[in-house]
Order: sequence, then structure tokens, then C-alpha cells
Amino acid sequence: MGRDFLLEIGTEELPSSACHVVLEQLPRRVLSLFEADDIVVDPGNIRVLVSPRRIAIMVADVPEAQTPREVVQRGPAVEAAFDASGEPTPAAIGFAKAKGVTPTELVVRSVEGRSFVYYVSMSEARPTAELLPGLCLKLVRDMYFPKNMRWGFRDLRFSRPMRWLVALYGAEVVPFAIAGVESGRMSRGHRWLGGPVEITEPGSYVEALRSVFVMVDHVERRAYIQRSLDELAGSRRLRAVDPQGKMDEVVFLVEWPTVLEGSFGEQHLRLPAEVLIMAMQSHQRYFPLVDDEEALSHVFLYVMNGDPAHAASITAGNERVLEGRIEDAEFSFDKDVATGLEQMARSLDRVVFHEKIGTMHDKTERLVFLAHHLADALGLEGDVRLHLLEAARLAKADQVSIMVREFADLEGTMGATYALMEGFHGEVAQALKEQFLPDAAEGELPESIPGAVLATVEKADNIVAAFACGEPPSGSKDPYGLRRAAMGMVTIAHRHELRYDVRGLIETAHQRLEHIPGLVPAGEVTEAAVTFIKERVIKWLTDAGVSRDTVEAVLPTSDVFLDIAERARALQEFRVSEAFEDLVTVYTRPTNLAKKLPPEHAGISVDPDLFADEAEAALWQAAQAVTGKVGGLVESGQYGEALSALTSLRPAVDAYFDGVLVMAEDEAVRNNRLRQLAALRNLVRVVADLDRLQA
Amino acid sequence: MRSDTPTFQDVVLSLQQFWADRGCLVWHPWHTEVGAGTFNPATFIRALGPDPWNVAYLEPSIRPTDGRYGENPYRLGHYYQYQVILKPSPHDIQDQYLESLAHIGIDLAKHDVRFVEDDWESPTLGAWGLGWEVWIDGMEATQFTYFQQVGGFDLDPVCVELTYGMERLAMFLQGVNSVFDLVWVPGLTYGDVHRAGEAEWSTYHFDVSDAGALQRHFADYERECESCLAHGLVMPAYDFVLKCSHVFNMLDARGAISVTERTGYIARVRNIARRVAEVHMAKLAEREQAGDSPAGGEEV
Repeated sequence: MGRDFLLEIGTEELPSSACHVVLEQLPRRVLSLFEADDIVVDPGNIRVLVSPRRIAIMVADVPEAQTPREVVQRGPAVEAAFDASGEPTPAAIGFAKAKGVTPTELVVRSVEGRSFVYYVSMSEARPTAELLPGLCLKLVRDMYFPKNMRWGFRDLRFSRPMRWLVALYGAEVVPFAIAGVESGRMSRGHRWLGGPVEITEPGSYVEALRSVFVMVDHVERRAYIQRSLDELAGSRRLRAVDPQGKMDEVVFLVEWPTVLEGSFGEQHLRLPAEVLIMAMQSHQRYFPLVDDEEALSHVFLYVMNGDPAHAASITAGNERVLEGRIEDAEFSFDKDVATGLEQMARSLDRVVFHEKIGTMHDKTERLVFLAHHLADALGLEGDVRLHLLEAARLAKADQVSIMVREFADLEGTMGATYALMEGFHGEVAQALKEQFLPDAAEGELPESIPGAVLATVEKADNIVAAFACGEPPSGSKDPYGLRRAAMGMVTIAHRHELRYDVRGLIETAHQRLEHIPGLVPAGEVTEAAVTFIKERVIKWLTDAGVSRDTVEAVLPTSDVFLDIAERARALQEFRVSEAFEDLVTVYTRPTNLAKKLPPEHAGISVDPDLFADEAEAALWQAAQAVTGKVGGLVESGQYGEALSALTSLRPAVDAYFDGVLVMAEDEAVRNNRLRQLAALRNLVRVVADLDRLQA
Repeated sequence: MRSDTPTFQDVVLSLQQFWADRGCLVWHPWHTEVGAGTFNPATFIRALGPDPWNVAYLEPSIRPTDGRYGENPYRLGHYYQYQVILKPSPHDIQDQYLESLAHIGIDLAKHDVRFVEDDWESPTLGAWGLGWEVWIDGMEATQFTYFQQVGGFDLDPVCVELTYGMERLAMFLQGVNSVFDLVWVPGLTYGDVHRAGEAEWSTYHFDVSDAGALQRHFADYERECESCLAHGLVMPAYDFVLKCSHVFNMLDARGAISVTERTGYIARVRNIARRVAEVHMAKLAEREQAGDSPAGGEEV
């Protein structure tokens, strides 16, 4: 039966990010340090508890001593260690003597076919208590944090200055010192509510800290806060929300949490909810409350670390701070409203979009141009078109608003709010707000058609601009979030069934940049951008269960996302049907032979007058008929039927190869045959490039 | 206001006394506009090098872009920071700081005082540190930073910087909701002292200043700084860094700097700030070689 171990590292207030890293990494490090010292502990017995002012490591049932380890020392080879009669040679005797044993205590072991004599002993089992000081020192000294600092004259690097150490093995202190701090058994309680506290043994640590108002177990703290939030919100028939994920920080900002209710002046509810939520969450880390219809309440919840006896005055203080933040935002808001969106839109030439390609005003002109292009491509007319073009014209106006300059996350939201206040159509406002969607992987998509189209052209412009400036994403570097943008284009097209040619859109987007000197050459930009975007289609379809090679086979056949998806699904289905073998036959031999066609003959059409065999003419006629049929089926998006139609050529293809020697002596005849086979290959490739399929 | 509520002036005097009693030299505001107490040479220059240095001072911080014509009760283009530098950082600095709050009249046991992670960086000074913003009942009252680097140099020993936001602290103590309503001394408010100036300076910075002239000033000051450095004149060179920094802030407020230019200006200020630090450090090293070694710091 071992003793329990405790190490508490007392610090000045740790950042929450450091706390999360500690929780993620420390248990494994503790285990490996014990393992390195041959002290066997059960991984399930290791607990790490973190609060703002302490990192506690608890290991239950740590054995009293190391587990002895076999120590193997190699002596002479067997043939040198024993003579012909099996007696030890002087070499073996000498080796044994050096180890302090007799030759009979040596053993013979084979390693990789060679046998040696060995002296095998068990290591000394040192008492754990002797090893723990060194282990504690290593734990503190080599602690990993995302960001480290030094303090005073100290060389130790830590997340924040370390101020005390509690180290116990059972009831005994583990003595060690680092950075001027000596270990002991005195811990510190809550800054105001508790004082110093003696930890008698590891098992009583959590309760000893509770007695000085520290809820040291972060899991318990989090559950307690969540429960209190739910109860308080529930009592008002409201729900606490945390859009910015502040709970992860709050848990590590308090040692003795009390959840309290506060409120701000109801008159501020005239501000957009996003602005109020920003004021509550960004700095203050409060939890906004919403009702069943997601409407924001003027009541909020917050988590305090002070004395519950003074809750009323502490709440009053927090309310005053929030009121100040909201009034400050309101001041900016009213200034913006007085300026107006149109005036903002006129000052966009003062804001640089990218130093190489100009201002937000230039960008706006591009968005309007692209919106026209895509509206034409999609056949949008009437109000939808008008609203889209209006939104494109005003898309960037809020970039010069005071609100967005102060809270960049409110871009789009502020434009939408001001647009509604100024009487623009709701659909215009909605498009302004939706232009940045989806703003996360698998995030929300635009709901409106103008929003979907504006979001699409906004992304297309960003992608083309980055490629033209020579800043495409590479490896893990994607500073403009262009992979997400491209995926957004694909998912938006899917959600709203937007059928447009992405190559056309990208080429159009690039037209507006062509006159700018110093950019990447045009041909490279559009090709690379289209390829980049279409790569997202692969990910999108494979995520949806289509096999990768299927997607790759149809990818070159179309530049319309939805069309690619339909082709891929048709091929996916066709691949498991019996007819698929026929299609492979129709495609494979002609394709392999067609590779022998001299390149200069590729453009010449097949000449029926050169046919020397009936089978040639028969295949020709069959192919003519199928070409027309396949063309019609592809035109109408019936890709499965198109694939079936191709298989109808199988008898003609079989007969052809039975009767025709393709590589004829006569060059003209031979090349004509190869051209015919190439035409057959190209016919199949209209629907899918089967070369890209894995067997 | 209750008779025991401190005036703005009381809060300042009380902090002066508190830190003077703890061995700080009481310094004074610098004669050139600065955006923060950190820019005062009592911080920037003295944080560098091995000599112990404990100093406290009030610093008017000039931030043209934050001006709101004296109309916004929370924003000022000219406000006061109380700045404390302790080198090396004492082991009980958090406790000392909390005592200073108690000293100016905040009953800590009745409030929720918290140290909330906030890392600090000044790109123009090539300086950064780790620390917190200190909250009192949700109000950010002080920036508390362990400086790690200044002018691109690692600090050894490390010093701690406390920056109290004086208006906020006084508003908290007096329970007023507008900075202009703060009682400076009985009979005179903060608004009486500063509101007209706020309005005029905002008008000047946002609407009147001559961007062309300011751009020329920037270039001139930058050149003067170089010339001072060529002559090994650290303090005059540093003042020209401050002037460049302030002119940049004025240009920024005037909207005369594009995003791209902005980066360029900041890099130019950082560059001369770094060179001042280099020359200063070289002088300190020379001094050490000459055997005039600094007083050793205490163990902390």
C-alpha cells in the first residue's frame, strides 16, 4: 500500500489558456516522470486540478519504493568465456571478478545469433521519498505553457510568477526548492475570503481548500457555475447564452464562484443585439439571457469571485461598467446613424483593401460588377436582382463606421442595422449581414438569394485578389481563410441550387484586376484559383460519401458545382452496376491504343473513306448515334442514362477488336483507326474520365 | 458627494504618498507629449540595464484618436495614468498593489478584485510584457505588467509596471457616471478643468491640423533623432522618438494615414526607439567595463 502524493504550485493568476494546456498535457507528463523513475503508478490515479492561483497534481497510492529493474552487463563471447571442457576461461573469471561474483553466477544469452556471457542483477529499489524531490523539481522546471515569462532576477520561465509550493508524500513534506521558493505544507486560500491553510495530507487537500473558499476542482467549478446559470435563467423563463465561449475563461477566473444577476437600462435594447452581446461578452465575460424567441433580455448573469455578502454593491459596480460600455457604443452608434450608409459608402476610397490592388471603393465596384455577372448567369430578375445590386453597392460601407472600427466582428451586422434604419428593403439588409457567411467550417449559410449571391461574389473576389497578389494559401498558412471561403462558395451553391460556371465567375473577377501592374500573370491566376476552388468540391463530395476517385473522374468534365455533384453521384451508382464492366471495355482498349496516335493527328477528324473493314464502319455508325444521344442526355443532366448509352457500344467495340488490326501497315489507315479510337475515348470523357478511377 | 469620498486630487496625492513611502522616487510628467506613462524615459530608458529603479509618477497621456470633442463621458484624448515601475519586480508586488488600492479608499473585502489575463505590447517601443488588467467589480482599474522586453532587449532583471487609470478609479470611488462630473477639488470638477480643452483638441486633431506639416515634422524629428544618435546623445535622441510617435498619432487622428502607411510609420518609430535602446545599452556596458558597476539588486 503506497502513500498519496500532492504537489501544489501556487502562482499569481494564470491565464485561462495556460490552464487549458496544463490540463491537457500535465497528466501524461506526470505519468512519464514517475515511469522514468521506475515508480509504478496507476494512470487512473493521477489527477490535475487547476484554479487561477494554483496547479495541483495528485497521485493516489504511490508505492514506497522503485520497482527493481533488471540490469544486464555484457561480458566476453561464449566461445572466449569457456574452454573445450566447458570450464570458465581467465576472461570469464576476470569478468566475474570485476562484477564481484563467481563465474557460476554469470548467464549465457543470445542476441542476434551471437552468444555472450552476461552478469544480470536487479537494480536497487530506492525509496520513493528520496526520488520525489528531484521529480517535483523537474515537474516545475519543465512545465510547458504556450507563453512564458521571467520575473525579478529569476531564471525560471513560467506562465506567471510562482509564489508558493506545497509538496507532500503522505503526511510528509517533499523537500525541494526552486526560484527562491521552498516547498512546505502551507497553501493559500481565496484572496479575500480565506487565509493560509495547512495541508496535513494529500487526501484532505480538496476539502482543506474548500474551508478557505477555494473550489479547486475545475470540473466541479464549471458544473456549479453552469447549474447556477441554468437555475437563475430558468427562474425568469430565460436561457443563458455564451456565443463567444466565455465559460472556458470564466472557470479559470474564479476560485469561489457566485453567479449573480444584473441588468442594463431597457432603453438600450434599441441597439442591435449583437452590439449588446459584444459589450457583455467581449470584455466583461457576462452571460446574456434570451427568451424562447431568442430575443435578448436587459437582464444578464455574471460570475463573481467576491464575498456573496456584498453581492448587491458588486453587482451595482458591474452594472455601472456595462452601462458605460453600452453608452459608449451607443454614442458611436448614433454618430454612425447621423453619418448614414450612403455617406459611408462615399468615403470608402480612404480605406485600403489591399495595398497592391486598391481601396474598399475599388472592391465595391468589383462586387457590383460580379453581382451583375452572376445575376445574369443565374437569370435573376426583378426585386431579387435589384436588392442584390443595392446590397453589393453598400456591402463595404460599414467598414468606415465607428462601430466596425471599434468592433471588427460587427462588420455586416452594422451595415444591415443601418440599412434597415434608413428604410432599405429587408432583403438588402439581410444580404449585407449574410455576405460573410459561412464564417466558420460548417457554419450558418445565407438564407436569402441576394445574400447567397453577394456572399459568393465577395468570396470569389477575395480568392482572386489573393492569388493575383501572389498570396495564395499554402500548407498550414491561410491567413485570409480562403479554403473556408471556397468551401463556402460550394456549400452556398448547393444550398440555394445556384448553377453557375465557376471558371466564368473567376475569369470575370480577374478582368477587373488585369489593368493593375505588378500582379501575378493572368493565366496563372485564374487557372490556379479555379483549381483551388474545385479542390474544395472534392472535399465536399467525399465528406458526403462519394469516393474520391469518382469525384476526380468527373471533376474535369464540368465547372458547375452542382453539375459535378450530379455526375459524381451518377458515376458512383453506375460503378456498382453490372453494366459498368461494359463501360470499362468500351473505354479501356480504345484509350490505350489512342495513346499511339501521333500528336499532330489529334485535331483531324475521322475519314470514313479510309475504313478498310466492315467492323470499322459499324463502330463508326454506332458511335455517331450514341454521340448524339449522349450529348442530349448530358445536356439534360441525365448522367446515369448517358453512361448506360455508352455501354450500348460494347458489341460494336468487341466486334471491332475481333476483326480489325488497328496497327495496320498503311500509315493513313492506321492513323485513321487511332483517330477513331481517340474519338471514342473523348466521347466517354464527356461524362467521366475513367482513367482517374482506381481499379 | 460624501465628505469622506476622495477628490480626484486626493486620489493622486494618496498614490504619490503610498509609493513614496515604499521607496519610490516620485518623478514627474515628461515635457513632451506621450501616449502612455511607458513612454516617459523614467520607464523606457530606466527599465533597461541592471540598476535597481523604483519610480512613481502621474503622466498625462495624449491619445488624439480617443478624443470625442468632450461629448462622450467615457472617452478622452487627454487623460491621466499613474505609473509605477519597480525593478526588480518584488516577490510581494501583487500584495503591495492591493494595499495601494486599500490606501486610496477601496475596501477590498467588499469588492470583487480580479487579475484578468492581458498581455501588453507596444509595437512602437519594441516592448512587451505579460500580466493582467486588474478588475474591480468588472471595471478595468489597472494594467499590471511584468516587462519582458524593451527596445528589443530582454530585461534582466525584470521590472513590473503598474498603470492606474486615474479617471476610472476616481469615478469608481466617487460613484459618478461621467468623467466630467468628477470632483477634482471641492468646487471644481474635471469638466471645469478639461472639458473645453477636450473639445478644442478634438477639433484640432480631427478637423484642423495640417497633415502636410505634420508629415514634414515627422521626417525632421526622425532625422534629428539620427543625428543625436550619431553623437551618442541618448536622452535628446529619445525625445525625438517621442515627438515622432506623437506626430504619428496626430496624423492617424486626422485620417491621413492609410493602413499600409500605418505599418510603415510604426516600423520607423520602432526602429529609432530600438536604436536609442542600443546606444543606451552600449553606454551601460562601457560603464561596466570601466569598473563603475551598478549597485546590486536585492534578492526577490
